[in-house]
Amino acid sequence: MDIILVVEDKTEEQKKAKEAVVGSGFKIVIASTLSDAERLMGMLKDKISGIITDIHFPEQEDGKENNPCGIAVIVLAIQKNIPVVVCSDINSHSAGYLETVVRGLEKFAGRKIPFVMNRKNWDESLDKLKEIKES
Amino acid sequence: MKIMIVSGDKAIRESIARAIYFLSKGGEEFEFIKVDHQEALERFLTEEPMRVIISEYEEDESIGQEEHNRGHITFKDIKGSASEDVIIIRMGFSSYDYKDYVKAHSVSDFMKMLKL
Repeated sequence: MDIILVVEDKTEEQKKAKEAVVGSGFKIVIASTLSDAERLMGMLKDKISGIITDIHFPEQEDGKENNPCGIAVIVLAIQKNIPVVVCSDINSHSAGYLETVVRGLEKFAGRKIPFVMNRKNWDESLDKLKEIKES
Repeated sequence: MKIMIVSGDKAIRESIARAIYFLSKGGEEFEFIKVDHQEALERFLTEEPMRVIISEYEEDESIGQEEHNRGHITFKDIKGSASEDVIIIRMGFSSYDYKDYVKAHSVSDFMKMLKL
């Protein structure tokens, strides 16, 4: 079972991600908060074969602020040895520094963490995830 | 057709399956997948049922987080993974206006009807 975890809080983007992931023959699980992502990773354990995560989304369902929780998802993915790709429009959040953080985590992980930025492109993110899985 | 029934209570899973079997008038063969909330998402992904019934749906956070009342979490998870042709029904005791929600009679309703 090839399951991709998508972490994204906006319904419209979730739909686009679902089209891209399911259209490529994968199964999808969607988390809209950090706590959802942690719960799904714990529930499905080694069945998640890749993660595509946004950067800014709430920590919990009732969370009003969109913090850079995607960083925590990347750390969890590294700990669980799951390939991860970042799909975010960071310029809309004026948070370009996050790419530097991800590059630092990349060194820590010892493998690439592709960062699809400036627009939400789920197809490109999925292609990059496939590249990591195949390498 | 595969039908998944999700409930934390085995008796509820069995009674829903039995009700569907009898009410369907025997026109179609069903394969029932009866699971609790914990295993629901994983079984949904592996079994790929075309119909899903999720009980214990409750959005009130004070009780909706309880292990036996986590239908809203199961619904969110399965809805996120399901294609549009999968029919998902949520069931619970509270009143919600969703088209895919079925309100079960509450125990207090039964007690009133029984004048007890």
